[in-house]
Amino acid sequence: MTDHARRGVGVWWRETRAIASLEALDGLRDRRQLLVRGITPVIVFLCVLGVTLGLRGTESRTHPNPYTVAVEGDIEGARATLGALGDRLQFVPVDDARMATVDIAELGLRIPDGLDRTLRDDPSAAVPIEILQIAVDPPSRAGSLLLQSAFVNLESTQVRQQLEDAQDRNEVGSDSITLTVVNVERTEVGTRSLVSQAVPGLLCLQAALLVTGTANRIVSRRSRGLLMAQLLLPVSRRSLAAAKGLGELAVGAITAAPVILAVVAFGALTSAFTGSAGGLVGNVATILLTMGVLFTFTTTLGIVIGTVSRTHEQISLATGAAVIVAALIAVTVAIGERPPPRAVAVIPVAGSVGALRDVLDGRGSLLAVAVATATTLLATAVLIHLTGRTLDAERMVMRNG
Amino acid sequence: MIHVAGLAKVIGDTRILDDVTFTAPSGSITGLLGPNGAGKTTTMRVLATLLRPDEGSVTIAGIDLAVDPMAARRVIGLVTEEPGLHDRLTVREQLVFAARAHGLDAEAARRRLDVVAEHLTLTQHLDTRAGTLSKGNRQKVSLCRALIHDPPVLLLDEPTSGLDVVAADGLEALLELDEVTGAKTVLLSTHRLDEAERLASRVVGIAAGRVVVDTTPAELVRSSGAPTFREAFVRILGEASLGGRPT
Repeated sequence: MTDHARRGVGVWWRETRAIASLEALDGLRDRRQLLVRGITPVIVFLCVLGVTLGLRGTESRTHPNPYTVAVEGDIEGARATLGALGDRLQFVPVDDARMATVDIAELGLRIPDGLDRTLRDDPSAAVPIEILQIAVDPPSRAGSLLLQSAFVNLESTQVRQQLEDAQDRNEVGSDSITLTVVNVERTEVGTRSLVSQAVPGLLCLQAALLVTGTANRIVSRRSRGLLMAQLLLPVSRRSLAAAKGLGELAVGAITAAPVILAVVAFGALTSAFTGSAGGLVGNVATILLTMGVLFTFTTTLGIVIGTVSRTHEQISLATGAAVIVAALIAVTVAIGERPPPRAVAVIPVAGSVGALRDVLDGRGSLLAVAVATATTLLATAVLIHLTGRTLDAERMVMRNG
Repeated sequence: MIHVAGLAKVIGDTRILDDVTFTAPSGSITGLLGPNGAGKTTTMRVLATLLRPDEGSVTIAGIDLAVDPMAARRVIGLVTEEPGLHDRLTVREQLVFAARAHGLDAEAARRRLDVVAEHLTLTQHLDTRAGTLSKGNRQKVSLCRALIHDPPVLLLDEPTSGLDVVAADGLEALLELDEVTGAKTVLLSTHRLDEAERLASRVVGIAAGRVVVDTTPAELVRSSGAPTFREAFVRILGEASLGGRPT
């Protein structure tokens, strides 16, 4: 590095730090704004935590009520034989099992009338039975499997009875096979767990709130002539953009401190109870890395919105859109039923959220975290470049009229 | 010294400034006068490097704005109608920051602050938050900030606009002090003719984006035949405004 370049970096950092400190100090003395920005994430945190707690993990999740089976045909026979095997199937009589499966029940069953009588009269008779399920509906598939296993149980009971009868007649030995079928329901596959969903979801929402806070502060300063005064300083636009970003990031980090501490502590405690010390360190490090990357991106986005927008309406529109996108990412990637595909790692922000979820799930990879971090930081760099351009004095003057 | 030659600025389809040429000499206050919408603020913004000229050249303290706008910002102090202060920061914090941003070290900034605050009677307000100050005092802080790095050129864009009579009179009195504006090149944009007559040794009148008069107040009165400076200026501006703005 040349002397000129070294001096350039030094001057750049001195200018940037001075402006950033001023910005942060001004922001931290705004008690009302601090209160709003500090309390909102806590409320969001509690709401998300409550929702996530309500989701529960896969391991304990079963269909809350009996599966409704629409029976076309021998309803009494179905209730007497299949229904007697457990309380998880509820049979309702219908005229058309196919339509009822689509409209009112979770699955359907077609049984010829007089099933019991038919079997009693001729145990070897072939009885055609149809099960109707909706393949794309997990509860329907699960109910169908339960129904099929009920038939298997029915058959095995009959076989066992035949074996016992044969033993009574001394036709077979006494060491018969004992078969027990245990039904374990599972409505969907997945790795949902409290920590792997709540932590990335909260970080995503917290980051979204930074967009709103930052954009509003920028436009408020612009309307009071503060930005104009700063544009008159003999500092580069790059310094000014970076300083605003650092100042806002500091204010954002401080207002988000309660949630940040809660998230990190929550993640750390859960990891400590369920994993190794190495896993604990890795999880906490990934949480902090993701937090830093997401906050940097959203703060920069807030500055771009604050400088580009001409009116408060435009600010509201743009920040609202950003919050909605963040909420969508939180809902689909962080809190979604299934973990995101690995390819999501290349998408800025969503990739970081997904990679964090995978890490906290114990399925993550360093490569995915690195790719997600790189793409989000790349997007941030593009935004910083854009911010430098939007801080052009002439554009700002024109925007202010 | 400020030298403006053939300056033109087009915004949208409107030619806001058209062939504006004037010189503001060192060690004196030059008044930039004109009615609302004449182009005074646009001229000041071009001089302050906030707007780029479309045609012509501007030289401030020997620095060509088109060549090195960053260097020009170091020799300019600007006061605008809106002070642009951080309400929650103290006066001292903002002024020290401005001094440091202009390259003064901590000790030099402190010394300079003491001197300027003394001249502008702001010493007792240095540790007060700007948001609690009166409008007049906020404008004094803005002037203090413009002077903190001791620039050779001071641009004042309607500094007394919105102030009450007492506050405006107090600010004008400060601008008359040698310690404040003495050796500097001062360009004062205003639509208050009494203020210009009191402070300016030379006046440049703008109407519809063009310079219509560039002379001393006394010469303006003499050549127009009007009894007062106000009447002379209104007469000239009235005639010039009939021509309209070029597009």
